[in-house]
Amino acid sequence: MSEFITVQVGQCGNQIGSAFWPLALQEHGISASKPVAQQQRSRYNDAFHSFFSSPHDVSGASYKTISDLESAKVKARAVLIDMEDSVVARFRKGPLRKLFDETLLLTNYPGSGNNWAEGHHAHGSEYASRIVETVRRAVERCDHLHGFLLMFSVGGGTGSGLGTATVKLLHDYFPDVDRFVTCVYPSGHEDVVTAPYNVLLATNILLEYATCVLPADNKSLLDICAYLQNRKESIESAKVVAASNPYEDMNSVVVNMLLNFTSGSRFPGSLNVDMSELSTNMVPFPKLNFLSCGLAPLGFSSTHILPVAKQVEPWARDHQLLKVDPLAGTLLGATLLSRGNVTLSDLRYNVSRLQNRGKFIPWNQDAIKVGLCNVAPAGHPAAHLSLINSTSMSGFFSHIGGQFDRLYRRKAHIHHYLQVESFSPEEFITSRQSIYDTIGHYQQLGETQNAVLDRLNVV
Amino acid sequence: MALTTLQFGQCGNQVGHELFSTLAKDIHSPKPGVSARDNELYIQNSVNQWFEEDVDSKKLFARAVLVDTENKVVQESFKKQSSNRQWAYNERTCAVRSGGAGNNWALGYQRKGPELLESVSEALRFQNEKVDRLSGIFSIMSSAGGTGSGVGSYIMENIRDEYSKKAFFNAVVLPFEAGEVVTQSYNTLLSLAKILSVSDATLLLQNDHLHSMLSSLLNFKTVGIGDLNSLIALKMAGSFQPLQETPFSMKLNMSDIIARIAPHPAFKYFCIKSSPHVPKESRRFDGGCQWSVLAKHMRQMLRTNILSSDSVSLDWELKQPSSVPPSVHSTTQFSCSVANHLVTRGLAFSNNQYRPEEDFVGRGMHPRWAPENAAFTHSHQTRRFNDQDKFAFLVSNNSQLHVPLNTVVDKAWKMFTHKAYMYQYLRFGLMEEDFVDAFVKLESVVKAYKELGKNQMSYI
Ligand SMILES: Nc1nc2c(ncn2[C@@H]2O[C@H](COP(=O)(O)OP(=O)(O)OP(=O)(O)O)[C@@H](O)[C@H]2O)c(=O)[nH]1
Ligand SMILES: Nc1nc2c(ncn2[C@@H]2O[C@H](COP(=O)(O)OP(=O)(O)OP(=O)(O)O)[C@@H](O)[C@H]2O)c(=O)[nH]1
Ligand SMILES: [Mg+2]
Ligand SMILES: [Mg+2]
Repeated sequence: MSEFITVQVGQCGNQIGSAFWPLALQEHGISASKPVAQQQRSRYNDAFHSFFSSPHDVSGASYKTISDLESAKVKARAVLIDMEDSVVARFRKGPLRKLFDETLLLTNYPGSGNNWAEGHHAHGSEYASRIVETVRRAVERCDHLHGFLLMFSVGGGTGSGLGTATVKLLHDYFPDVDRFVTCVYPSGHEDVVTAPYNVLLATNILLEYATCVLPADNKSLLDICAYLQNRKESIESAKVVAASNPYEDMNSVVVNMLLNFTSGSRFPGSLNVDMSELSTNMVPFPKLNFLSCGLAPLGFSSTHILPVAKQVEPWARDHQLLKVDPLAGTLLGATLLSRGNVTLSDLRYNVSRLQNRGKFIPWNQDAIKVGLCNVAPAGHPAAHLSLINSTSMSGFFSHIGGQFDRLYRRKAHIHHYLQVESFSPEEFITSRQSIYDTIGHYQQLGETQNAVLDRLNVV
Repeated sequence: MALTTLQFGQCGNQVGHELFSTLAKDIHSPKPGVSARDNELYIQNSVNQWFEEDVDSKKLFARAVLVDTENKVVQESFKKQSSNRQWAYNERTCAVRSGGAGNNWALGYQRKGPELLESVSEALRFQNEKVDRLSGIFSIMSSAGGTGSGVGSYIMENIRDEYSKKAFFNAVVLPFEAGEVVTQSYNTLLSLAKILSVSDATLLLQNDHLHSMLSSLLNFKTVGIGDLNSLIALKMAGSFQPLQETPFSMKLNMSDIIARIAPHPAFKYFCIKSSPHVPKESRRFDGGCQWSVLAKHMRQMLRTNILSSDSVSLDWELKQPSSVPPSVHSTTQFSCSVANHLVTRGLAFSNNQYRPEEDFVGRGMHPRWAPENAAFTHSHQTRRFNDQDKFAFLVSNNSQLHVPLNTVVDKAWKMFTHKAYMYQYLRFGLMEEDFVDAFVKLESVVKAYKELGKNQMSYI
């Protein structure tokens, strides 16, 4: 089975991580709080090693509780990085504390002050060798490492700056391992005034160094959560919201996406999708690596068994983790991953629906990748994930550019960045240009005509 | 007559598994409909062709080598068979890595293929040492992914010399045209072009067509991958299980069939048409159809529309045979065939009543250069197949085959002219010229098939 290492950076990254691990365990029938129904556990123990390592070669089936994991010295394949230690400290106290290996934690005080330059350059150069060393420790525990799953926000300083510095390091030191980045974009209502700078500077690095980017924005996540809370079946989750950190539900939406995203690599299926296939299918040209992710059903993991909704359309606008309507643009490629109780016919049906709805690029009218995984997510009979590379992503980039321009026109707050020694003011300009170029590339593709050179004439 | 099967990638391994299950089921058929002696002979021939038999347990071991760049599928196969008492794979004959070939022919061909070559060759030798006379090597793969297409074509190319005296042929599963892998047309183009130079003959299987057969002939409401594979396995077993020597039928084994079906280096593709496929619930009403009706029905499957030769609207394989003579349209003609091989399986075939060559020979059905007695052959086997009294298969190398190939070239060319996805392939050391070479090769094939029998049309 494929193995993955999560790399969680900054407050947001680590909070997504804290939602990730309980749900990952739940897929294997292990719960931190209450016992999980026996249902489909134990058949796919091999998959346990995708996210967890243990010193003994024990299959996942023998673990039922957290204390089983503790006594077998099972560890999460997770690297935790933060430049302040409050979130990671919570891990150190939480019910899953033994799951995290102390040697894979990297913290410092007092953060990056919402300053990309501080995170990327100051901390980036100071911590580079320790980051590589820590990641290498995790890599050495893997036999079949197939991807890094990076999680961070791009609005603050640490995730945005150091997170993207980490992406670069992984690119240089582990070039054969794919880098999948889930990054959270700010909703625009937060109080981080420098967020537009951080967002743009980080986005530029991701275009260049990430294999694929699966972005989410807090506005979409909030809307999804509000929608779910209005529905009866999520009363249970609504209670959770009241009781805990406001991001928890938003983060579990992201986590569901990640678990579905990796399911084909972890579990068997009649049409398997390995992670290495993703960039081949979804990135037709370098730097067009931002994918719009849509989920159906949207729900959090819950013990409710929802009926198999045949009509689900993961590509619908309000099912996206980003405020982007993928079908409004020209589609360069789409991946449909279904898990659980879904037949080939259901999948073909979804393909033809998507083909009727979407406008595909003239040079590939069938740019669709499909996958079927046998194992349903915990709590649902089936789930569908769509990943779409659409030219409507240019709107998202325009927004990023526009927000940046509003501040940069006045040179507001730039002194914070210029204070950082190795930061060059040029970076503002080149990063802005790179965003322009990407928008231009999308627009050019959106206008592609169906003019084709004549086929070769053979005698 | 021993054959070793090479299963490549997810598709090759899943189809291969189903093939051996179908063969084992056929071998153990409770109602063979022939004498005990004939049945014994058939079983012996079939076992020799596909399996090793364990002397003590009588358990059959597939003479196969399992190759994949990702271990999940092969592991599932082993898991499935632990409960199977009829047959199994030998665990020593796997060559497996992990991580997959990323749906990228170049990654499969340039990197994973060379990594796997040694262990595949070893596993092959291990299998082949045990047989007295190896007659051929049969590879199974899909063309859309990276492993079957890339690793498969690399390995075929590199073991060809070691088995230069053997029949060397393969089956390729073509993807659903409406998209399954975004780069499927590139991968298909590149693998078909490589395989073309090393394989004696390539069986083309189209997922779209199989899916249509299941839904329109067999009334499946939902189709699973396993259903496609059962149909593929049925077609393969039906064509290649042992045949009989009778006054009217030739006793051909698999390598004979391959040699006959692809006698010309420019025409190496074939398909297998089959009938009747009857839904389980209406099985008991069947049996009424006469051999002549069935054979004429098989012939209808060679019809194409002359107005648009690319049209698939007229597919007789999606119909049940009928004793009412088909209405003949002046707009249809028989597709010109390099060779056709008819296999009939089941009860009471007698050439006093019906001689199939009358229907399959002459009148523009073959190109002028093909000698008539070689361009059509018929073989029979009285033993019942698939628990049906009558079953017919037409192994056919005909002009219609240009249609799926043309689609692949067309789609790949569109992407290529926009340079889409090229950097993914160049990254693994492929060059633009390699694409151009592949285009040239396949364009020639498409042209040759399209023009097969041109200027000698005869309208029926
Ligand atoms: N969805 C989600 N967003 C979060 C979470 N925590 C913070 N954010 C968002 O992330 C941005 C702030 O970044 P943080 O992750 O707090 O910052 P950091 O990476 O720790 O960097 P510094 O605090 O500057 O050291 C804001 O846009 C927040 O809305 C979370 O748990 N979930
Ligand atoms: N008929 C049939 N088609 C299959 C099966 N499995 C996969 N396919 C088809 O094969 C193509 C995908 O190729 P795979 O065989 O999965 O790929 P692979 O050879 O393992 O290569 P990579 O996964 O890219 O390393 C698609 O067109 C699928 O429809 C199967 O069991 N039966
Ligand atoms: Mg912070
Ligand atoms: Mg595969």
